[in-house]
Amino acid sequence: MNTHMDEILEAILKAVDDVNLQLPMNGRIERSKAAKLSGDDGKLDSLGLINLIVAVERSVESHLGWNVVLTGDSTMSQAESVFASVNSLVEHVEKLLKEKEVG
Amino acid sequence: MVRERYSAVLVSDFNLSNFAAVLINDPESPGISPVEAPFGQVLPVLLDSSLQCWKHSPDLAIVWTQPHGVVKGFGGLLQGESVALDDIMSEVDTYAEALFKMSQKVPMVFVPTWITPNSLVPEGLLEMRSTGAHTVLTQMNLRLSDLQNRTPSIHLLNTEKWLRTAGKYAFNPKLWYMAKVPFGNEVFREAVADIKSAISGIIGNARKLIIVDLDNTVWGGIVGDLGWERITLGGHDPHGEAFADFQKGLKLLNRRGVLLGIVSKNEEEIALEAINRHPEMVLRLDDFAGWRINWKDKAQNLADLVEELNLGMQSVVFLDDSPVERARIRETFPDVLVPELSDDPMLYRSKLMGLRCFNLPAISGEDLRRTKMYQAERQRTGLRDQIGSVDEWLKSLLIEVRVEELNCVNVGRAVQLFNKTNQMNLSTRRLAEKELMDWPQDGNRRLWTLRVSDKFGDSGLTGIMSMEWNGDEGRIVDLVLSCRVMGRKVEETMVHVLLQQARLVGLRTLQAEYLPTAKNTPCLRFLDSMEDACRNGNLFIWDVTKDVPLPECIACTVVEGFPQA
Repeated sequence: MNTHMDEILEAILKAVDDVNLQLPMNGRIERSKAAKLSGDDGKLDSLGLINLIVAVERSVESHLGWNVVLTGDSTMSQAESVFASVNSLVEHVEKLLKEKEVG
Repeated sequence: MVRERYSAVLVSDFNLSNFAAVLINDPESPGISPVEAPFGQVLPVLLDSSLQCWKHSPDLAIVWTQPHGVVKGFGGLLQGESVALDDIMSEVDTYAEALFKMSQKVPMVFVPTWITPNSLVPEGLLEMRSTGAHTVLTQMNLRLSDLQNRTPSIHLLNTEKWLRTAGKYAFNPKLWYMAKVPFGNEVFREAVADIKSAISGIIGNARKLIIVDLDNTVWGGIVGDLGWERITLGGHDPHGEAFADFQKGLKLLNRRGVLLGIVSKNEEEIALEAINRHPEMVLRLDDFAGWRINWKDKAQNLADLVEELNLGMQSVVFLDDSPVERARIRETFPDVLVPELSDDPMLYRSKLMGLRCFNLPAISGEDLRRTKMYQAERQRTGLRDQIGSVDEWLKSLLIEVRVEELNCVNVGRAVQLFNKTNQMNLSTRRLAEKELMDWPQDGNRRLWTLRVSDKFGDSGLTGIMSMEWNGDEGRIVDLVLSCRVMGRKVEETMVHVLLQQARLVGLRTLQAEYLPTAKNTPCLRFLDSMEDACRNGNLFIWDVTKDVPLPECIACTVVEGFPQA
């Protein structure tokens, strides 16, 4: 399980690297599990969040070979908490992948 | 016009915020500060110069639209409606006219060519028929490209190339549906790289000289060991073909005005024999402006060759298969561009073609003759070594100077010279083509160009001078001379002609203010050598009633009344 989580974390951090290229130097997302993403303490505006969603889906697919959809109702209905931090996003992606396995 | 940072207005019918972010964060020079025009109102924005986005006279505009966004007829065609081609073209013309009007106010306008996402066009034979979307779009882009013939400030950019490089990440439907961004960031990064390369070319900062090594760079193997008959070049051999193809790439760039030089550790006689005698050699000796083939340090050889060709290190690209030699040049001359060459020569040509540093907006006659000019210069130097005094040598050259006012024919080359000359340059002004053409329109200003030729050939348009006046006091604004002809009394001829022209408009005094830069001390040295001028600090003042004679070794013609654009 931890291996999964580590791999997901790495894929998400790669997506963060990609999104950071769009952000000003003083507004970049820290490359860590604890980094805040959106919301009051986060660095991302609405377009930044869309860029992150697209980058994470792509990164998970290209690095882990898993197709994950972050624009579905199950994510969007709880977007505030899912995209609050890198950690919450990792947990959510892990949950989606688990559901897929079960389904 | 040469700046560290350029202001840009972005006009689009889609969300360009991601593109703007890439523009801002791209670390390559020059920097670009974008302002996004009101979203989705392309024609009103192009036509209304009173809008806030145009208020601060931007250096450039990037107008990036989707074909179905600005040409409604094409949108109908994509939906399978029957739309007459003439109607579509009429809409294209309306859009082109708006671009043209806007281009009169902005020095540089970049227009990426139109492209449609795959998701909008069904694949199939129908799309390639005369009324198919692909064929119609090709014609629309062709019509748009006609704009470049009407105005030099509009430059079309090849969007399709960016999509090829971005591959499967070129389009992302999710970005479109959620944010109205049709392209992935890979496309925007490619676009930014091309736009910066284009700006560099337009302001005269394109690289002008490629210096190549020989062994394992332009042919395979060590010619000194193998003999020219056994080097790998051409023939039915993948590596041989790759080396020949690399040479063809170099020749192509040479035909576009980029000079070629050789710096190689070899026996000169053996290396030159290979170049002269190998039947599959694409590049011959007369393709090279100069060479240093010996066993000395390559950095020293490169410096000597660059000095001989009167260029700066920022003009040079160095191609060598050896990582050690590449590191040596990179470390010694940080301004020289030293691309990494793959260990596999089959990748050399694509590497060369991928370099964005040779980007010229147009090719002038001078660009095409440049190698020949340097060959003529070698002959001149040879003659100077034979003849004792400088005056005798100059007389023997039979130098002719032809002076004519700036006009629509010579402005292309003039703007290149104006923006890249550093050494013999009084004020180092930098202006785009339109700004240069506009400057002498004021009744109290004149601007001339000079062509210099001698018995060895035509050096082309190599000088620019201008003056403006108020009452009976005149001021030399520009005194620009290519280092290609410096030291041949052309400088003195320029002052002679300026004083002559000053007398014609009734001036009493003519002054020149030297504005120092890191590179223009040759200009100060020349002004200081003018005994007829009175110096006060950096100000040099001539009494117009006194003549500065035309140098004896020069025949000068002043052409009057050439039509303005």
